[in-house]
Amino acid sequence: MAVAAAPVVPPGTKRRGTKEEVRRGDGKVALGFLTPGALGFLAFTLFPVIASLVMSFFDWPVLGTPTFTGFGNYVELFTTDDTFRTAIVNTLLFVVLYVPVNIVVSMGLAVWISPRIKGRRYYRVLFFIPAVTPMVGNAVVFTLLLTPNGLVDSAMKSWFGVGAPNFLGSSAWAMPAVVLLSVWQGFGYNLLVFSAALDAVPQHLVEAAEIDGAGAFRRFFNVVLPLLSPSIFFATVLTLISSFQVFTQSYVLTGGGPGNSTTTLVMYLYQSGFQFFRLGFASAIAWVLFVFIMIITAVQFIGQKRWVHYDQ
Amino acid sequence: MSHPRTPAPHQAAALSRRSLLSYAGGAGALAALAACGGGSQGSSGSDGDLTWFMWSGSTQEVDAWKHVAQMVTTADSSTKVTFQTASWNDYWTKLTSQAASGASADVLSMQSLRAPQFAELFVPLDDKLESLGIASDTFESSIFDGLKVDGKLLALPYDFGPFVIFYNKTAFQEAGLALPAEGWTKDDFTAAARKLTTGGKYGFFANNTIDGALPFVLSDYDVAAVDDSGKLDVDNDAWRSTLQWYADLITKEKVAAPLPSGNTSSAATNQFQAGNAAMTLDGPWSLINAKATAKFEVGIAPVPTGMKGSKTWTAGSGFGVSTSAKDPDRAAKAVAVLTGVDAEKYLGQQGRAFPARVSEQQSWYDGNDLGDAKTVMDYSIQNSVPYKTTANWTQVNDTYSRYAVTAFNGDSTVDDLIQRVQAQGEK
Repeated sequence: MAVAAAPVVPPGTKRRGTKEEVRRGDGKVALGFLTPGALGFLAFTLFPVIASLVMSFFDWPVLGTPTFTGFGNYVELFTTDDTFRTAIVNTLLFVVLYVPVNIVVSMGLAVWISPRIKGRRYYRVLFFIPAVTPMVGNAVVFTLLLTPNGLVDSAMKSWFGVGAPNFLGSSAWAMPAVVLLSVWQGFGYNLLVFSAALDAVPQHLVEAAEIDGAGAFRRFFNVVLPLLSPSIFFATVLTLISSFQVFTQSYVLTGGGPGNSTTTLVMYLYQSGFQFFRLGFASAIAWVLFVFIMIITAVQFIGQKRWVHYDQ
Repeated sequence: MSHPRTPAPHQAAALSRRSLLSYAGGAGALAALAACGGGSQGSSGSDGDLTWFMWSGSTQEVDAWKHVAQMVTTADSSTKVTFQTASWNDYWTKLTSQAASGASADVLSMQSLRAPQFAELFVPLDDKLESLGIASDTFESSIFDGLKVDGKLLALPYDFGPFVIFYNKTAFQEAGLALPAEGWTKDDFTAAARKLTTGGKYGFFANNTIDGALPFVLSDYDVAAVDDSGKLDVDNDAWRSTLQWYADLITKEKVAAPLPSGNTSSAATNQFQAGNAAMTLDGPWSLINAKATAKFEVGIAPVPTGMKGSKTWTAGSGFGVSTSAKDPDRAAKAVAVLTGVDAEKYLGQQGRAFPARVSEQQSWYDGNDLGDAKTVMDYSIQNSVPYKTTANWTQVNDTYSRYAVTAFNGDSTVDDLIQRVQAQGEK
C-alpha cells in the first residue's frame, strides 16, 4: 500500500486570506473526483465486507429467511467440520510448497537473465507470458499434459515403457500438480520484481567485493542478496497472501478432488457459498481466512526488521 | 439500462464550474450504480412481456430456443418472450442468485434431478392444466411425475431420456464381438470390455457420478439411491457390492480407464467420443452430438441384464412459472406453448430434445436418422424408473464425484465412499 506523503508547504506560503478560500474550493473539486471512487469503494468493498461479517453470524440460505445463530458457523467450522480442517491443512501445504519454489525459481531465472545474458529483455517478456495468460487457459493445457494418455503419460510410455502416474486422479499427486501449475503461472511476476531489483544493485559494491577477493558465490549471497532483501520481502508478502487465496488452480484442474485432497480454504468457501448456498457459513470461512492472512502478514512485518535492509 | 443523468442547463448556470464538476461526478456514479441495479431485474412489468431463462451450450441451441420462444408470440400476439440464457453450470448459480434478489425470469427451466432443491421457486401448475387444455397423459409419465415435488407439478416437461450404454460399433465389429442388444448380460459386458481393452484403449469408461452407477444397482437389486420416503439410502449391500464391482473394472480387471480427476463429469462422454473407451453410459441428449463428433459408428444398447433384469433411470427437464412472475397466467400459457405439440416436434426434429410428448417422439428419430435407436429407446424407457433425488442433491453428488475418484482408482475404499456420501445425505 502507498503511504500518503506529508504535504509539502513551499517556503513563503501564507496560510491565510484568499489562499484558504481556494483550499476550500479545492476540497469541493477533490470531492468531485473522489466521489466516484469512494462510492465504488463503499458499494463494492466496504459494504460487502461489513455484510459478510454480519452474515457470518447467521444461517443464511440463498433462498428463504436467514436465522441468527451467533457464533454457530464458527463453532461448526472449528469443532465438527472435517472438510474445513482438511482445507486448512491443504492450504498450508500449498503455501509451504508453493512460496519457496516460486521465490527460488523466479530469483534463479532473474539472476540468470541478469545483465550478462544477451537478449535479456526478450527473456523477460518470454518468462512473463505465463503470468498474463489466463489461469483457466493454463489449467486446461496442464490438464491435457497431465491426464492419463496425455502428453506426459504418452511420452513416458514411449521413452521408458512405463506410464506416468495419474497426476490429477491420485490423492498423492493432485496437490503437487496444483503447485506446479501455480508456479508456472506465478513466477513471471516475481521475476520482474527481482530483475528490476538486480538492475538497481550498485555495481561498485559488487566490484569492491570482487577486489577484496570474494568469489561469485560469496558476492551473490553476501552482497547482492542483502541488497535485494526489500524486494524479496515485498515478493514474499504478496506471494504468501495470494497463495492463501489459491482457488482457480484447484477449481479447474481437480475440482477440489480427488476426495478432498486439493480442497483449499477458498475452494471450500466457494463450494459452501455458491454450490451449497450456505452464505453465512461461507462468510465465516472468509473471515477466518482474513484473520489468518492478517496474522501471518503482521508476523512477516515484525520479522522483517531482522533481515530486510533498506539502506544501501 | 438507464442513461446517466446530468444536471439541467438552468441549474448549471447558477453553479460554479467546480461545484458542477463535483455534482456531476457524484451523479454520474450514482446513475451508474442505479443502472447496474436496474440491469439485473429479470421480470419486465409491462403488458405482455415475459422473460424466459434457460441454459444453452451453443449458438445453434440458442437459435432453437429463440425459435420456440417466437412460437409463443405466434400463438398469442400480445405476448412477447425475451430469451435469457447461461451455460449449464452457471445456470444454477444465476438462477439462485436471481431468485435471492427477487428478480427471477417469469418462465424458468428446471431439470428433474434438481426439482426438489428449487421447488420453492415455482408456482404449481396442477390447477392450471385444465384451463390450458393439457392432458397429463400426453406426456411420458415418468418425466411428468419426475417434475413433481411433494405431489405438486412444478414444470411441464419438454425432454427426457433413459440412461443407456453408448458403444463404439466400429470397435466391436473389428474385434469380432456380437453387438450388444436387448438381453445381453453383465458377463457379456465384462467379456466385451476385456476384449476391447487393448493398445492403450479401454473397454469402458466409468462415470464418477451417481448417474453412472445407478443403472447397475437397479438392474441387480432393484434398489435406487433414494428410498420411498425420499431419504438417501446408499449405505446398504446392494450399493456396496455394485460399486465394488464397478471399482474392480478399473483396479482389478483393468478394463476401464482410471478416472482422470475430481471435476470431470464430462470425461466419460469426451473419452468415449474421442475413441479412447469403447463403452460408456450416457443419455439420448448426447447421442446426436456423439454421432457428429466421433470418427466411428456410435451405437446404443440397454443396460446389461443383472439379477433383476435390465433397468435404468430416466430424467429430463421442463419449463415452469416463477413465483415472482408478474402475470402467472400469461406465463403458464407460454409454458404450454413451449412444451406444446409444435414446439416439441420442432425440438425433436432439430435434435435438441427427445420429446417428452409421446406423440412427438417419432420426430426425433425421423429428423436425425436415428431409426435404429428406437428399439433400444423403447425398451429402456419401458424398463426405467424416474431418477429420484433429495433436496441437497448437489452436495450428495459432489461428495460422490470427488470420492468416487479415490475409491475407483484404488486410493481409498468403496466403504469409505459410501459412508461419506451417506453422511452428506443425512446433513
